[in-house]
Amino acid sequence: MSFGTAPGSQGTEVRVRLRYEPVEGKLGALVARLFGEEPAQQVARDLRRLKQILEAGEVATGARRLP
Amino acid sequence: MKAVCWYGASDVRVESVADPEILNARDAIVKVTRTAICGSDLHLFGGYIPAMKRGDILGHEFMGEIVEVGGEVKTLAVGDRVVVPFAIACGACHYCRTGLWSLCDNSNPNAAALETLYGSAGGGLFGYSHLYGGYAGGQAEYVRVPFADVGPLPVPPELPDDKVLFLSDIFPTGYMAAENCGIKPGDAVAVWGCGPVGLFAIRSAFMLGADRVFAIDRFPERLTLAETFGKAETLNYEALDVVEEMRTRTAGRGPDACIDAVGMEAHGTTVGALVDRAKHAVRLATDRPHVLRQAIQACRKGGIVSIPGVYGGFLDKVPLGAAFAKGLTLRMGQTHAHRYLRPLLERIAQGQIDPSLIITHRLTLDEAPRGYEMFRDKADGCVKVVLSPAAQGGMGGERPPCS
Repeated sequence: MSFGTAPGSQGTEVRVRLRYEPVEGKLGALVARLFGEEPAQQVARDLRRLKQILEAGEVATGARRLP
Repeated sequence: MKAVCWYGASDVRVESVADPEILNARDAIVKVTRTAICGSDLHLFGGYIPAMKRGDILGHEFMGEIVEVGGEVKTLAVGDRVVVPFAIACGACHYCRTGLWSLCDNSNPNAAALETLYGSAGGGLFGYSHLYGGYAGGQAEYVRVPFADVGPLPVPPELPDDKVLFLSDIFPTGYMAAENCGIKPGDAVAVWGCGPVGLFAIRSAFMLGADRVFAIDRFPERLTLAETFGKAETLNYEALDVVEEMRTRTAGRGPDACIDAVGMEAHGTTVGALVDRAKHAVRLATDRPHVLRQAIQACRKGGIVSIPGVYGGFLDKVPLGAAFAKGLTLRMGQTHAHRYLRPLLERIAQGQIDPSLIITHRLTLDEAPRGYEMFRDKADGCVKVVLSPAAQGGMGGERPPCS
């Protein structure tokens, strides 16, 4: 994981490099992707939440009430 | 609490649902005193906007009283009377800091879905599908307002709800549409659609220095409002060839700027418009871009086409060749409402404009389903419906007066 200056000094760029061995190889990765749980998708979601916390101080939710 | 809920095309119901709660430290809960049905709500009512779920609470034009605030909201207090802009903005990201509030990076929890569809995602919107965050809307007794330290605008007590309510969307939307026209003294501006946004676009075009405004519609009551409220030159597209007529009235050039205040559900009298209607009806097309085509055709060389009307998908046979050949500039997008709240409140306070003059129907929240139908069918001369949650329909309670 690395932090750097974004192009044009427009903020901070966070890069995550993650190497993993999918269960059941490529097929396993495809199945995980279909369920939105492939690691690249999970990391993208986590990075978006991190950006929300760093910039806005909280994670946005469209919920109306606590579950 | 009571809320107006979406159940499918042409199916909205007033239901009893649980009250909203503070979920984040920058939230506030607003007790709604006035809300309105927007033309863009009719796209939801028509079933043209994807990612709606049964039971979703509608409404993005609302105002009211702050009844609860989260720990981080220092700019508002319980009891404050506020108008809430329809777009939700964090105030801290690159887009918010550069005034592009409706493109906020952080307010749409479902941004990934929109990124797949559009390449990148706009911010969250109240009551406008799960693509825009799935936020509950303001056609309800109470609303949870996220980032309440950024959006809601306190309004002075001497201005009644009906005069300031439209700061939430349609007045800024009409104003930004006119601002996007880059109006110079002497300019002629054409506005397609004399609904609420078109009417505010007309007034705003004059405020920004337009010499003449052409207003295009077919409904007599809307053309009348364009004349009386807007002071525009009105053109009934069923009675004449508007492109030719405007060319004649502008020494053969065409309007300097054209505003499409209609969007995806346009009606027309040409063969192309009928084909659009057929394709849209059987879902072969996502949008009916008849007005956009005509605006591009009418606009003078080097002019600007400004699009406040909502489009959602892939548009058939839009004459980009004509736009290119004439060197047109196209400007569009969700309104950065936050940008216009204070300057436009100032204009209302100074008496330069009374937005309440476009209201034709005042209903209770219970009567919302009838309001949607009337507004869609343009029945009973309906131009703008406002709803009062506090008023009780048919149960002997207070009932707002009808104009």
